[in-house]
Amino acid sequence: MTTLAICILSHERPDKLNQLLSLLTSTIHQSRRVSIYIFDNSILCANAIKSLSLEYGIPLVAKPGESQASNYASVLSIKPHTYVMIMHDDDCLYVSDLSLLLDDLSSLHHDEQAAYVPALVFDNSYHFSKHTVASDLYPIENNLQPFKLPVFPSWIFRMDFHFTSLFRSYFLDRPAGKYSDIVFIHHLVLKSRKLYSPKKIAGCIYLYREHESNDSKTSNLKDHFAMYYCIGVHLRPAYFFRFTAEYLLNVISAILNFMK
Amino acid sequence: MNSLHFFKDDTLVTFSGLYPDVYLKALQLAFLPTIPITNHLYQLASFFRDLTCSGFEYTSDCHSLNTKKKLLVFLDAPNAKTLQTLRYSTYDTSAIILFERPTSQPSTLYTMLDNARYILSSYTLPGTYAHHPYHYRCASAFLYKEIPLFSSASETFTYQPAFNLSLINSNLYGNNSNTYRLRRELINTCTALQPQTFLFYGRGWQFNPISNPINSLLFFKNEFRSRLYNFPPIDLSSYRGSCTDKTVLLNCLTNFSIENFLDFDGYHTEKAYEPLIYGCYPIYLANRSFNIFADNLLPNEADPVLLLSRALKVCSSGPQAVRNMALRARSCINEYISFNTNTALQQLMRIIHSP
Repeated sequence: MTTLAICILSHERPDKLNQLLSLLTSTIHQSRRVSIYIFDNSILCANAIKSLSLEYGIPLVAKPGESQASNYASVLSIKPHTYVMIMHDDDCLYVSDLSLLLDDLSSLHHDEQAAYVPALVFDNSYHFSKHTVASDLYPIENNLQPFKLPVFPSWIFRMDFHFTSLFRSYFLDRPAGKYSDIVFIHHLVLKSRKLYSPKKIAGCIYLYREHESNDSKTSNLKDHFAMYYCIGVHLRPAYFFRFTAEYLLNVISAILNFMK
Repeated sequence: MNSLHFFKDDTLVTFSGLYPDVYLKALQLAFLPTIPITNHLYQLASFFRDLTCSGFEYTSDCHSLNTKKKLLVFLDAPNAKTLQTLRYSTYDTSAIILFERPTSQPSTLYTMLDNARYILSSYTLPGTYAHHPYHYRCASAFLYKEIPLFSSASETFTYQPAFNLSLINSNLYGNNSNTYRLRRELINTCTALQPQTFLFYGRGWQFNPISNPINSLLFFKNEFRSRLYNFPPIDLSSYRGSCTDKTVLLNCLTNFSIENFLDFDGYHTEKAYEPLIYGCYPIYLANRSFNIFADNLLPNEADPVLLLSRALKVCSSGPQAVRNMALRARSCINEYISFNTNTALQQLMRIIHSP
């Protein structure tokens, strides 16, 4: 029987987590095949998140003040499921048809490591853009451009030994800093191409929220460089030189525009 | 004509208030053989009908009457011109029923509060008037009789809801910026996530100067404000135009009922109970304190995702179960109203009949 674990990484945003849990629980209805977990490392809002966990009856792994890497590592502590989806507390997941979602997951070949669900981007004023995040990601190479980050969420992974070992190496060691998750998905796609399924899983929509404190808006040059370096050196060396050249060209053109 | 006059023996009752066309329309409905339950003035019309049934007669000329007891009743505060024409001082007693909240009423409101013998409202009066000695806190200013049920009025009706979610809302900013923003956000969220099962009606959401020039003016005014205050652009994919009455709710399981103002204790309008007439469950958002609808219906935080989640949770129990929930909520409120008899219009009826 195919089972799915939805792991929510939470940090100091109880209001947004409330939205996510409310939407999830209203559509999943205590299905035995889907489990939801909260992994929280908040300090200021720890009690508020504990209250939400009790209110919705969802297991909470609370590690107040622990690092983000430690929070990610907690995902591996859950009981085995067939598939796992890791999402952040500021996004939402709308399950329109749970049986369709589970049927689609069941129909994946056992060698296929990951699949994506369609996604919408919305902002603070709840204006939903029509483009899907995950379809932009496929083929993933097109998305690897300077100043344009590939988006991590909306992926569902097969929770097997391959995933566990790779997850551990990227999230606990974090060679690419805050963008370790992006390097992780690139590893799956570029190195393990046969294990990646281009199939879009129906029955749910990932809702990616754009807001002031998005990772992509608070990033810096060092983080970007670390990500490109990891993808380039570890996964496809040619990319690193292409990124660097394109990046420098962009910087030069920006300076020239400014001087005009 | 800015007022209605009823008399019986030595008693004269004059009704006036903010919108003359409202009570005139209610009076017309009261004289019909059957008051249509789909009309939003059903409750007020029922009151006028009961008044005439108890022996009061309608008259257009009150000056020729020589009555001992003169009662002046305001349904919301009148404007200054209406107040002058009524020769306020000639009446012995005056009563005011507050439907709308004070900030959306004319400046004459505070004159009325100072001089009225009876102040009937469901919400707490603002500022120094909060402890007014003549303020009677009522369970509801809108309800008078029990909430009717459409299906029992129509023999040909069959219950076949096709939509899970619905919203009937005019494009009105009306100084309620927070709930106006919330409505726009809710429309966008429901349209994006439930495009097939979301029904959305309302006036003034689309520019159509030929068929409806007034609504088009409304559209421009509110869209200009939306740009000015940076409200979200609206997705009108699920928009079905404007509707004459709310019978469209017969086709829906739930209806988003969002009060215009959330910051007044006990403030509520007909939005709270109108969906129940059609067996549709209201996903109700209002100030929960002192609100008789709060325990029967589901109040919620002012957030589009939470409201949608509530609606989806309700819908997940199946059409018949949702209808039963709506019927239960309706009978609870009806029972409360009949047992307590503390609505503004029931109190007014007592005042009129008191010696």
